Amino acid sequence: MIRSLFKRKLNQFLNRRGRETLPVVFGWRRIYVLPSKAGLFFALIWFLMMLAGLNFNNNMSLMLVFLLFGLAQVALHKTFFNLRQLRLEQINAEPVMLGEDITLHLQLAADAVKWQIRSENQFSTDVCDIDQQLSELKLLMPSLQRGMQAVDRIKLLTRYPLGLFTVWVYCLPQAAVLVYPKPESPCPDFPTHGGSEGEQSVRIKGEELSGIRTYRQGDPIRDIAWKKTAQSSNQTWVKEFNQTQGKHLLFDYTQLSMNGVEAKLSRMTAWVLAAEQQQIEYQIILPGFDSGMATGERHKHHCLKALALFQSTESPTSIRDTTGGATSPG
Amino acid sequence: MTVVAYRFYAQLNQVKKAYNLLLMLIAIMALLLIIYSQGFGLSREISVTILITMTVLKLLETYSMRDALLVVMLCYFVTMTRFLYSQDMLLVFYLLSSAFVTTHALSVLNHEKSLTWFDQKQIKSTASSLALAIPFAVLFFLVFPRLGAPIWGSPDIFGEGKTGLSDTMSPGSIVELFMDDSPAFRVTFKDGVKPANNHLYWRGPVLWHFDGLTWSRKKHKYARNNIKQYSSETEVEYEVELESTGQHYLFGLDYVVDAPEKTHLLPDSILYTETAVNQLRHYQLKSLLLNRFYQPLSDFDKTLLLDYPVQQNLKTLTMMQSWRQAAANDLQIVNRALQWFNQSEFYYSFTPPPLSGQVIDQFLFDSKRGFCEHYASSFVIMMRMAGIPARVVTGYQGGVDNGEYLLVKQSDAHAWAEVYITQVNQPGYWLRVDPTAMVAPERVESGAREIMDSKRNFFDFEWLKNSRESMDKYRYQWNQWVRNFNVSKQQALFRAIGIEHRDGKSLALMMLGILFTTALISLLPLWWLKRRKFTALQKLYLQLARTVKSQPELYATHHQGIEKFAAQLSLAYPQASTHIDHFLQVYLNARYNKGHKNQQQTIQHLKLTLSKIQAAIQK
Repeated sequence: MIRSLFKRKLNQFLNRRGRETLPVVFGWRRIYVLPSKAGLFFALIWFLMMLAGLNFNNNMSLMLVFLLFGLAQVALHKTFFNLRQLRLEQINAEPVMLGEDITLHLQLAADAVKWQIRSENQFSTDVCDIDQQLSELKLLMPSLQRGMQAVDRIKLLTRYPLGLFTVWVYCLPQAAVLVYPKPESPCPDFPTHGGSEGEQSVRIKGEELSGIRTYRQGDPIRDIAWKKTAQSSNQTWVKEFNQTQGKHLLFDYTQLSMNGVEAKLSRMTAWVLAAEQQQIEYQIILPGFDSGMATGERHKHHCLKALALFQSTESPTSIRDTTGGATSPG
Repeated sequence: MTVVAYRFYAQLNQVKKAYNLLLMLIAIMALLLIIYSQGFGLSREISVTILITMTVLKLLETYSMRDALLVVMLCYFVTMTRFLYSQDMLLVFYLLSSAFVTTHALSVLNHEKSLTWFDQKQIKSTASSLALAIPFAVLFFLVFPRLGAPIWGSPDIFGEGKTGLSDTMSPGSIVELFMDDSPAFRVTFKDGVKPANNHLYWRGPVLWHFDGLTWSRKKHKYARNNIKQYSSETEVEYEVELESTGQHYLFGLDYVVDAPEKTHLLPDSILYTETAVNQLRHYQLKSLLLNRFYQPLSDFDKTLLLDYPVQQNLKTLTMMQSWRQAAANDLQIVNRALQWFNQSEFYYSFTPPPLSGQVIDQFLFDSKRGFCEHYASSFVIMMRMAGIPARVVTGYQGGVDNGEYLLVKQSDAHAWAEVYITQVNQPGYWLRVDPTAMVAPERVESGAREIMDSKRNFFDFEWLKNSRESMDKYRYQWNQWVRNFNVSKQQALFRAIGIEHRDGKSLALMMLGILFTTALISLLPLWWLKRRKFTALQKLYLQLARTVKSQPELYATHHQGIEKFAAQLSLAYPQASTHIDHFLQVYLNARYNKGHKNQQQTIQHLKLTLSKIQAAIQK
């Protein structure tokens, strides 16, 4: 209990600045310094050397010993200055599906040259040198929930030049990453309830038979491959048809008969992805949202964002979406 | 070497790490080999060998960052072991260069993306780190509390062993030293009065026994009495700084009055210490410059001093017996022998023909060429054959006057003789006789090397010798200030800066103070280097901002850029707005218009505008 209390208090202390708007300049007041493991080993060796030197009053050895002490001190200062006045300019991240890892791109800059700045958390670590212009560090973060997920506390550290000390800063940036709902897998068939002509119950399907698969809930009876089903013992088989291009799909939230918001969103996400991949025009309708009929990268993100933010309570300011606005093929 | 080569090969060819068991076996084998070759026990050699071997073997299993760091840090320790053997001045370069290499290795290891070993920026960075560490090291060296006595072990185990004059003399042992120009000891005479060269007989081991080839010492049970009464005319006081010898003898001028601390004065006037001289040692002595020394001689000692190998050197024996019969007293025989050396065809040479078998006969009657050891040795045997107690004294003779001190080098090693003159109704005395002086008087006057006509070796140049001697002056200072810095010198230093007591509290305070100061010393240059540099233009802008420093809210807006700040400022002080606008225009033009020229003029202009603004604001 004490431990959890301590942890909570520590977190409270480390996050005491609250969420900060970028860019953040790391001044000396927020820099933490501790010896690293290598530094502790160095201290041990140094201590032994000092004992030997003092015991035998070997002045040259003592000279080396004190030189090393001075060196450690200089290293401490150098490491500290290596991190001081570092700027976290902005954080970019591409939206991900729930369950995938978020890759944060930390944009760092500084007036002076910075060596070996490292981003670190339990999932990943990355390192870069900063030389006048913007440099980028990657940091992985697990996605935990649909919607806008706030960025965790970021730790930037450096041990350069000698690795004897770890100097680090924490930053809890005012930033969040868009996490789309997890697409249902395998992707279910497109719904029968949508279409450009507004046919409610007509299944959009191709003319040509493309294959046979097992029955899924909601498959029309006329598609069942009776012959094959009769041959197999307990499986029901369904004929599948190629969908030809130029069709229109409508994914309507209210028309889905499943239980649970997340399951519905998950299915709609899968459909959006599949439709986008097959270059079919599609439209999603959520309570209070209508995407309009379109296709393309931009439209996809528009839809997915709506799905991600659907009924989510909080909506913190979004961070810059690297793909936002850009329509890249595929 | 093999291991290092293998490691290189392995790195290049991506060989996988060997099995742990195999590595263990190799390590154990190496350990056994060391013990086999060096014997078991805690000695300097064995500790150092084990440390170095294990560090090298560690390379075999060094595949991760952690191991690499470990090896590099062990290298610091390995560097230190060198100083257990010697603390010579020139080793400072070794210290700095190996510290640099090791530190640079550490730095390269910590730079993940570094592609080269010799990145110029990194080398510069390492060099600056070391340079900044040096003042710290010097300060700490001076004030860090030292131990008066070792906590464990004695310095013997890890002393700097070195061979000087040994306590035996066999053919060639002194010639070997003659080749060595390294310092044996340095002497500072009180009041700067240096005795004449022919008085400078630095007494070392006195040799009693002769087995036909080798001379050796007598083991004494008692100490000699101090000289109580003496005339101050012959008295000389001096301080000796003895380089480590690994032996138990201290050297002093004939004849030493009193033994210094922790030293015994043996009956044959040698200074003997219990612990071997394994470190630089200082002692003060008082001597009487006599060539005779009154001392009773026991019958037992007399028989020892009359002993010579029987059935050998018969030719010499016959000669000496005839001399004995012809002479009235002992002194006559001594003088006759010296004359004989002087007038016969004897030559002083450091490359005498090798002798074997009946060496005295061979030397006296055939080769007639020899070094001081030959003359001293033959003379003593001659005297013994004539019934005069005699012994060989080894030590150093002369020395180079090096300004404030006298430098005695290994090449000044010398051997001479002492004969005991018994007198009727008067106490007997020891008489120093140097047969070499009869053959080559210059040896005693100006040193052994001067009288040699040929070079000792290929590198034996005059300028080299001179430069060595002048180098020794620095070495002397080095010894004074660095090698021999200890508790007492530290206390003297503390006293000089006004700290009398050396209790724990004041020491702790002092350490803290020093730590703080040195931290600042290394911090300030770094801070200075890393501070933000503003252009003249930016400075002007900051000046403008500072005029409204009394209003924090307004002042804070200057971080948002000059345009916003100027707008806010104009809002707050409408009376200055025209000047502010003008300042803004000129500033922006100067700062961001690349084709802009006449920086100096613009800055002058801006300064003028600034003063106008300030005047307007203050209204």
